[in-house]
Amino acid sequence: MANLDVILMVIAVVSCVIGLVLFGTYYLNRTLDRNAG
Amino acid sequence: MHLIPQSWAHLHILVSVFPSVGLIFALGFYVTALISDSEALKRSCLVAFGVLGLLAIPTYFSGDGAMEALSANPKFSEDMVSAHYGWSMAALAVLAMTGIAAWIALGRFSRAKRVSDNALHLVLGLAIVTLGLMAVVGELGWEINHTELRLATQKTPQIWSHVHVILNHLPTVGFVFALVFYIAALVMNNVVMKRSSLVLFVICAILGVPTFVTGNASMWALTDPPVAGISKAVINAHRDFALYSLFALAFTGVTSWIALWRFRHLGRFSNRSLTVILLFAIVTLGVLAETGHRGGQINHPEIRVATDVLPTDPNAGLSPFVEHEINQVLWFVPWQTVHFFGFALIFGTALAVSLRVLGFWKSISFSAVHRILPLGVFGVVTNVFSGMLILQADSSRYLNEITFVPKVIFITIGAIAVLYFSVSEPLWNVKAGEDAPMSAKWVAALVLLSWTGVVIGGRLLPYV
Repeated sequence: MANLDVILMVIAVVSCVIGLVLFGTYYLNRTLDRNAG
Repeated sequence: MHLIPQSWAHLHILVSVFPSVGLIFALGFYVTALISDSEALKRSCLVAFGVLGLLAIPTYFSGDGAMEALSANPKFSEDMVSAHYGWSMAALAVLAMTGIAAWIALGRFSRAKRVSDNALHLVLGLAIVTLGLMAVVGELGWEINHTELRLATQKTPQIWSHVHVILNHLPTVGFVFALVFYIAALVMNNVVMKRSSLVLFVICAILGVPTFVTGNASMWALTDPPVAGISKAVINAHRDFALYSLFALAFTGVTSWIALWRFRHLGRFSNRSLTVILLFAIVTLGVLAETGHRGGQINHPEIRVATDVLPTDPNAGLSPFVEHEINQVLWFVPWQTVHFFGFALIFGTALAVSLRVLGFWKSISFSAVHRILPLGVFGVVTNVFSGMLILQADSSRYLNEITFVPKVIFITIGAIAVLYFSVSEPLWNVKAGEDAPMSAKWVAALVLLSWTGVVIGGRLLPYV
């Protein structure tokens, strides 16, 4: 289990980056709908 | 940083890039003005050509002064200086003619609401000839000082240094033009100018990537083994700011692209977004200026002044710290994993949008697939940062791999081509059931080809 810290770091970094990308895309499309409406 | 240059050579280095490299961007705006038939943009470009024509005066006098001041310096070959001087006379003469033609056309604009196409085409032709001559003059000018370009291959080939010396001016000078036109667009409240400036902000951000990469490669070409007069500590001080520049360019580029993307759907800009972009752009220009100044200090001892304190510790600063940390498995593996996710986002988005343009799933309008583009753009941002971090882990090895250069070229082409999807009018009007124009299909094919090249080039890096 020596590399557990690496696995946890991968999960943490990937979750943060992909989370930001998905939220950013969702937010942009949501504001677009509101402004269009 | 000296806001006011304290020597003729320094002034010449600063001023001369505008009528040469800057002309590319003025021409870009001018061609946009002619295609979109925007009178405001045409007039703004004529003012730009007129100002560039006036810059022929300080360019000539600073060059003349620098030539006299440095004539006793054995580093500068008299023959090379003469060749540069001779070609520059021709280039400055045509530049002055371009400027005069532009001022005359502007005078006609003030009397009539339109100016004849002949006058506009004359300015275009003269500007293109000037640009051709300036390319020769610039090359001869750079070779006067950059004698290191003639050195043998070190840890990386000297071609990297040569390309970096040329390339670094594109995002910096381009950014000055983008900001000036952007401010003019805000003052004149002109939509075409706003969109054109935003496009240039994005292009400058994209050009920041090959500039950063070639800069990294130049470092190895000039420091391993060491070259007399070039300090790794001074290079690292420049690299630190290059990293900040990359961040700043990314912020301005992404916010500009988002504004373009939103405009596509809403048909209007939000004033708040435009103000945020203006603030980002002003900060970015400051960071770029400092980066350029630090870059100039690497190999221009003639512009240094007595009060300059240059760094001496090659291990100080952000870049050596990043190099050390990213070499730890704990940091390298997560960012490499993020890099692969980024590729998936970019390629998936490019594939979906490009296939619609090429004729797949015609039941969907182009505006519908345009909505998913932010996924791909955020993927590009993710991969620029993760890619730059990964590069720092073992940059000389990556840079010497045969597939690295095509990869970086494809990234630049692929990213710029994607911009077309958010600016093309005929493509935007493609409704459900309709076929996209043939020009758009060529761009879609280019986008797919480029990003396929990026993925293949990246995957082959460790193996060929």
